[in-house]
Amino acid sequence: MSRYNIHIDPQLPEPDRVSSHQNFDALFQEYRAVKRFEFWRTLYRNPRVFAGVAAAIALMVLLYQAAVEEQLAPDRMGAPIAEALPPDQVWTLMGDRDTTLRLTETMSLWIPAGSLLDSAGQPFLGEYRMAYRGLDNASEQFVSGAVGVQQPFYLEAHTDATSLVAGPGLALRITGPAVPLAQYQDQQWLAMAETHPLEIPAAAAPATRPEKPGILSRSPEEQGIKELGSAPQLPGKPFGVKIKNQQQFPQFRGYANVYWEYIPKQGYANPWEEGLIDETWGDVAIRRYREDSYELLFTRPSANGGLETRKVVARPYLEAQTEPVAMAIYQDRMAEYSQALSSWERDKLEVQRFKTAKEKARADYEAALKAWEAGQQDTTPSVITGMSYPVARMGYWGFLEAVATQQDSSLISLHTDISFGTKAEPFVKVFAVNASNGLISAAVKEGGRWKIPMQQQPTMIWAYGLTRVWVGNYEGTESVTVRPMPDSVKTAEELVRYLEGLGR
Amino acid sequence: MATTSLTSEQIREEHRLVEAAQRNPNRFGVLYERYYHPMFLFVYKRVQDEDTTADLVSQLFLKAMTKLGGYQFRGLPFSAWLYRIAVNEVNQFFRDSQKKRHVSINKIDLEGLMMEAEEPVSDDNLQVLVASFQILNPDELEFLEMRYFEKIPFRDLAEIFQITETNAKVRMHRLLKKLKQYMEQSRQQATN
Repeated sequence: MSRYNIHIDPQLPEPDRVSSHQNFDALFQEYRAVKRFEFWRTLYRNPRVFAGVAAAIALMVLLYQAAVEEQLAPDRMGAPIAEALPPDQVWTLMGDRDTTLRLTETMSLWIPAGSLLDSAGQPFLGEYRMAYRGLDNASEQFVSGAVGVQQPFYLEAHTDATSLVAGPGLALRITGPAVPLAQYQDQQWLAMAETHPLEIPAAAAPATRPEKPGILSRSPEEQGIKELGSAPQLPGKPFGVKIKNQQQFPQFRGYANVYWEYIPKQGYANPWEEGLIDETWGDVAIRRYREDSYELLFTRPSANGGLETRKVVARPYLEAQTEPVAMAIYQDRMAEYSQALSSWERDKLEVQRFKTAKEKARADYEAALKAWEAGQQDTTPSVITGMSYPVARMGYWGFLEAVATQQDSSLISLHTDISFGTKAEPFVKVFAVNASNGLISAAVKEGGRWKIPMQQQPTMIWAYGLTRVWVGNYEGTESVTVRPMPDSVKTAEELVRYLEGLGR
Repeated sequence: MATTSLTSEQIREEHRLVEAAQRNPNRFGVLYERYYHPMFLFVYKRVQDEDTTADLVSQLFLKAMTKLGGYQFRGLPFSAWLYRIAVNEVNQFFRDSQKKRHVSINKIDLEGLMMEAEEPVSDDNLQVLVASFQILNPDELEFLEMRYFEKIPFRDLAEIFQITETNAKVRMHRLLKKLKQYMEQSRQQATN
């Protein structure tokens, strides 16, 4: 079989025929179309260029992610959460005067004149307010994110218009033995290494009269707390009254065969306990006691010739003329009572909390006032010793006493990555919290998993992710399931309620 | 159009046109005008279909335009570079279409090949020579066609086939020897 068709002296196309196919314009258009996408073709056809571009894109994505994650990082302590954690104390001060604020029994803030700066970096000399809040319990620390130190607190200085920043000279003075103080900065606690021994005359300390805390002049209603009414009343078990001779008791005509709900009242009998049920009485009188209740007076001759009487307050179940119907109504009323009681107890708890907070504020205020008054009067020179820490910035502070760890305790482990729907995020820090005593233990990241010191149960887990906080309950299993805390939880009280619900 | 007619001066002059086209693709039109006919006939002789040839030549010049930036002047006519593209296009066409390749020959060129192979020129010998083309593989046939029927000099052939000029000559020598052996065997078989 031949491989080629061989033509000897074949007829070739005439020059005119060849010229008819010649079209440089069409060729040039085609060339431009090809060149338009040449760059991209080069890109994917050339492995080196493609790899280079892919690496560049990957690098850009990584940089972008790093930038986004930095933005999303849970810097919950960037600024005090004023709504959730209002300051314990606010002082109105003048920037052109030296001031010492007593924050606690052992800690004061030394504010030399001009040591606070405005946004332009200039010493602020006008009126401003200094706010302080101590985060006393675990739930407050959780809400703020100030976990990992002891007795955290925040300081904030501002005017009506702007925040003020710390300038040279501002110092925290802590009396007594030296303690490791730490400041929250760049998303971590930094120990304040630079300290100066402190010796100051005691009389110089209280310079400004403490301001009365706002909570002392507010009522529970002004604080948004409902007025606590009386406790709901337990419904009494119903009983029936059968009239044998209706003609003799015309006043009972409307209550024939009706069941009555017993209402406990002082000075009145309990029909179920005082021999009234299943007894025959000679007479019964009825008169209105309250809006919907009546006083029933049962009488009969006694064995000693006198008159035996029983007085009962009761509410008629007009729709109930049989015992099953009466008991069904009674069950409904019991359910209503349980619900009302829970609600009332919650309200009562809120009122109690408010009262406790108010009492604490009053005690602190009175102590501060007393100290200030004593300082005004006491001119005898004496010396307080301690340490002075330069305050380079406002924000969160705490004491770096070691967080509780238990070296020989068994460990539970937690995945470092937790999925939530389609989103996943690594944890930045994880803590185990003893729900009974509030002891907070830091988890340690080992081999890609968080190891959490085992504590006496019940133990809560707080995991700070890049975008939100996750919480869970350790229930004695090998692992812990944590769930994102709802955005609706913003205050310490809301958190307590949420965690209580989680525990159940 | 063969490339033998170009002098060194003409080749340099032509290269100036190429450089102009490299700077401005619109200038490629001059080269297109110059080489469209020879390229068309070159392809047509192998394809024997006018429309297919027009398509292939269009592709050939498009490729030449898009690759012109990478063209490097080696003292050879621009056509050598175009022929290289043309050979590749034609080979690709036959690979893709699975069609049978055509070979178009002038009888005069065939007689020239007979003389080059030192074979007596006769009609019988011509038929044997034509039959001998069937034993050549496509590359060998292309090489033979370009040298004897397109009259392309060895230095251009070397550029087209990306070999040295000496290798081109050796290759041609072996090709002629192969054809000669075939013709002798054919004659012997006819005698027996």
